[in-house]
Amino acid sequence: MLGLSALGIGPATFLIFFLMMALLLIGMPLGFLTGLVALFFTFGWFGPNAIGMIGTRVFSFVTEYSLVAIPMFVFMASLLDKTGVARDLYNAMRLIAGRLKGGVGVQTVVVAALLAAMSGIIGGETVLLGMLALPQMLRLGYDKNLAIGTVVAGGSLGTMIPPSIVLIMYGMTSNVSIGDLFTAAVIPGLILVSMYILYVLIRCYINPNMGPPAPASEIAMSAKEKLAAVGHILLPMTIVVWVLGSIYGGIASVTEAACMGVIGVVVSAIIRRELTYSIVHSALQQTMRTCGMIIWIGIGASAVVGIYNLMGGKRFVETAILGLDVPPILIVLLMMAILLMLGMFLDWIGIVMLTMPIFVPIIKALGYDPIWFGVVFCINMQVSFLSPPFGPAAFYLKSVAPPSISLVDIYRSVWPFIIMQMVALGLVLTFPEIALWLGN
Amino acid sequence: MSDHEEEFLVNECDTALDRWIVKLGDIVTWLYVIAVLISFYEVIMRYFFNSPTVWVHETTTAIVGMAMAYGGIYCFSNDSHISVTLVRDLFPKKWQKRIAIFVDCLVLVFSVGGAYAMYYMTSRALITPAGTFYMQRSGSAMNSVWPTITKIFILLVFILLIAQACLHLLKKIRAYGEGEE
Repeated sequence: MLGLSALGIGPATFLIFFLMMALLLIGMPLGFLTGLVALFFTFGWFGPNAIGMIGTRVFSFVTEYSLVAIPMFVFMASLLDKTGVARDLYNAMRLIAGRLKGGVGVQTVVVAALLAAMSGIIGGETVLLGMLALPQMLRLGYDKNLAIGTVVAGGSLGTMIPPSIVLIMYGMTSNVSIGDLFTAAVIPGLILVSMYILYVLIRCYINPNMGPPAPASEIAMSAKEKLAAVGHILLPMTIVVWVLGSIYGGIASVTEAACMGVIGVVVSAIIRRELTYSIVHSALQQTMRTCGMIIWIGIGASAVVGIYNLMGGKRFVETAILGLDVPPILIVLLMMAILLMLGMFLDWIGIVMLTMPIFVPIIKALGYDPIWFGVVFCINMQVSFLSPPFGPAAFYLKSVAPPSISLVDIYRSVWPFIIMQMVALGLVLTFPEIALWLGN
Repeated sequence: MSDHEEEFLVNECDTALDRWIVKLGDIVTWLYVIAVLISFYEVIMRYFFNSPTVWVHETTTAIVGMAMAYGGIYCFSNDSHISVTLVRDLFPKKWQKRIAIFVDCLVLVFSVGGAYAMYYMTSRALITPAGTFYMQRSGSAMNSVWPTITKIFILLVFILLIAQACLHLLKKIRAYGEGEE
């Protein structure tokens, strides 16, 4: 209609990119701007008769069965947030901190990993740790930067350790098994956890003032308290086994396992006598908000990618990239660079939906394993959670941290952890077996 | 910044329709609970009684899909969609307001286009090419009319979004005029 097709796909690619950036920077909601660009190109390139395509993209996106797992995991995490499960787990875990230098830091990372294995969303975990662990470490006189970094990096583990909603979205858009992705992410996730723990221990070993142990009077527990502590650790562990066990045991699909997770949390809330209508209600409201935000970004991105592919965009990018006369690993590195750059501006869901339908076929054409690429992508997203200027983890933490902690403090604290994530990224890039070994 | 301006840029979206959408959303969100319960039922039936159902899979997908679609207008009513306002905040106040109004115009354009796309699709799910009424079915073992219901629901969501976008825009334009005095 507007004769945009006369532009040719190359210039149109730049126009799409430019329009999206411009709309993003004037503050249009991400979910709406991608949809608007999709509509603009549908009309402008194909004319009004092609409009049915947008509807079909929207409909098939929201009625994709795997997608159901996302609201379920969000619901589960919101319920967990509102019960005292995480708080009790954190307190009980002081058993492992003991009189160790940096012990509370280690305790924080371990609890973060356990919380990550329970649900797999990011914001809630960072907020929880920001409320539980950060005041505790600051009170004991931990180095401010070390304490903040541990909380932010630990809180973003949720994307890496299964079940992870980032991997669910990746699996959906690139048509690979979500269960296999979960398996592949286990070892890289644990590598990250061990690196964080080692980092805390080494820093505190070199300079004990960075993470003094808790006073003996606080650590002492009566036999009764110890018994209660074991209970507080067992309950979350049961939920982890329940959710991951039903996936790996072949009992339930990932989506069903997410529903089982909700049931698991509800049952544990009943056991703890915490289940009330108001808790369920506010968890539901939070689910509605979080999913509305995530899913609409997905809807818009799915529409714009659909149109772009129809315009011949996928072929254009594929020919351009595969035509480069460089070793395949350089292409992978180029993609990593693009992802890291996008991570500074876009939300992870936008990145998955916009880039993966284009990148993954190229990865396959180069002879790489899409499961491996999913894990690599996931570590990449970890970095983007932390990296300024739009690292979401930093904003989440800022919302609950003591007022004396500024965004600048947070950004100053995260860089050692970003370096560790980059090292992990390098490891998995160099040795794909780290990700693929467990599945074979 | 005066209180008035603060309100303009931060929480400008509190119209009667928004409050109504949030209230209805608090009911729609129970669809998630239903989805959890029936999925649990399915797992139990399949694993312990070896008799999987034919209706859970499709029903879950449809009701969760509808709830998620509703989430879009739910978020729009309390302005919790992700947007990057860092650059906009660098402009003088007056220009910030103008940009905010421009963005709302674009949201309105998007909602009209989206509603048109959904209308186009829904009408094909309801009317045969010969012009008679029918309801598109899923064609699975359950062969439900869920696809049609979901399409109608998403169309309604987009229609509400148009109304919302209009009201937000009007409210901002009015507030902009008042700010001038």
